Amino acid sequence: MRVRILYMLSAREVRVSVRSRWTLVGAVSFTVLAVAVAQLGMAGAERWGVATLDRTSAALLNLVLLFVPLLTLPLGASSFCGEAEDGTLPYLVAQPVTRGEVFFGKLMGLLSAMSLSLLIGFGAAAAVLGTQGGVSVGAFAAMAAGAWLLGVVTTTLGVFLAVAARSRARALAAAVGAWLVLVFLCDFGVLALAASQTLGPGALFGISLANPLQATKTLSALAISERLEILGPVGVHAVRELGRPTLAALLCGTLAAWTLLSSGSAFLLFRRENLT
Amino acid sequence: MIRIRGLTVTLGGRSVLQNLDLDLRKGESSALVGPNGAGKTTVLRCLVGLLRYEGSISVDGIDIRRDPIGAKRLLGYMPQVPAFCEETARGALTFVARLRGVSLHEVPEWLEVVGLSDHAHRRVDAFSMGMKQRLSLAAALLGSPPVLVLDEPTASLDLRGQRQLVQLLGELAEDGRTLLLSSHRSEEIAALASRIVVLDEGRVVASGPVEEVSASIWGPQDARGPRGLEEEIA
Repeated sequence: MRVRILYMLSAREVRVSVRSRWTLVGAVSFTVLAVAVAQLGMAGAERWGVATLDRTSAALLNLVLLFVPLLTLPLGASSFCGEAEDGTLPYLVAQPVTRGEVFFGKLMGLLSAMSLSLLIGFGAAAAVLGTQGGVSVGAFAAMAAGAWLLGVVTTTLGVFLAVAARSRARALAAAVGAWLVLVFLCDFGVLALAASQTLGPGALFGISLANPLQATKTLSALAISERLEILGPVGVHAVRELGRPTLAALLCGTLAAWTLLSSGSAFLLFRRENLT
Repeated sequence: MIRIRGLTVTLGGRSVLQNLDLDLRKGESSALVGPNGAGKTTVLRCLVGLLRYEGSISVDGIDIRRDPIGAKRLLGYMPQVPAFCEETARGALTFVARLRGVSLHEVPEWLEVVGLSDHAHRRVDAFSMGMKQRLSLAAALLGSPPVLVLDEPTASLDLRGQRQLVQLLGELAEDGRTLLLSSHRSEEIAALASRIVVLDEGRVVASGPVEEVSASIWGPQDARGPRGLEEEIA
């Protein structure tokens, strides 16, 4: 694969996402969200003490984890299908480039657009909050890093859905479905298993780890606070059993596995796909 | 220049091309004709690497599967529906030029050839279909590839647009380029091609010089050549 071609294709993907206003919408959303999260945390800290800041941030991290997949799954899902339908993708593939260059160039571009959006969003929020002082830099950075890691996972998952679905409408429907599964259904499933009392905390933790949202949440929570109770009973059990460094490595590995599995499967499908 | 052997394509469980052989000599202009669904566009899409196929395709001795970059470097492709990767005419050509590793000095030159110099900075989505087709042709010509692959180049144009594009393509064909086009229009074929390959249900059913084959397909009245087209437009 030629680096020059990868760069060209990814730069074009960023331009397309900027033109489509996705980057702007994403950046504004992340800014509002990040400011709201930090302001609420600070309000809690003023009223009840500094310890509440971490707890509030951890609780509001859930909001970020809802929002990031909602924006990034459709970003990945619409990119490949939209361009396949308007003829741009076949036209690109017909040029003297390989399918691998087209796929990874576009994927890198999508990840860059997502990163740019988060960088602007959280950067603007940091600038706003920095002037007010009192914000926990560590908690804020952990939240931003968690959002980015999750963005990488869900963007590549969106790309996989796009290549597998082969039509924009189907891909977007699959993206919404994936969001519902990751955000709600997985938690309901874990709750149902817990209620049935057939599984111990170790098994429950293993199952919930398979959900990248849960993995990101636990990883961010580990970074945000030294206090174990914000991780919930299963998280506390995991920290006690594995220790913080091992647990963090396991969670990072889960997110990396999701990214590699999604992008690898998508590439294998794309390499064999008929572009008509 | 182009050698196709045993080309077989199955799409959605349907056999679209069956064991098709085709040879195109250097500098030769051939037209693929046939009813809708005969497999004309499928042949062209295989040639530029868009479809999976059985058999072999080589361009100037380069197998398209083994060396897709080397083979596609020799091809200029103009799809039936023009597609552009950037917003403006100049931007679209600049992007393709960079992708093909072609000097950017060629961009204004080809815009001039297709008569779009005055529209270089305009948005492509505001172009008429005729302008889009000419811009698509300019993109196919970047780097002066020896083979032009044209998928129904005038299908969506009005008569004036057809005449302009056919005239332009005729001039380019005279430069010794190898031309492979798919078309339904007898006038276009007569003006541009020296040889016809007739496809039906994914097989070659006839091939030969335009005068011989077109008379058998459309009858002597429609095998008129460029003069016939000009008369019709007038």
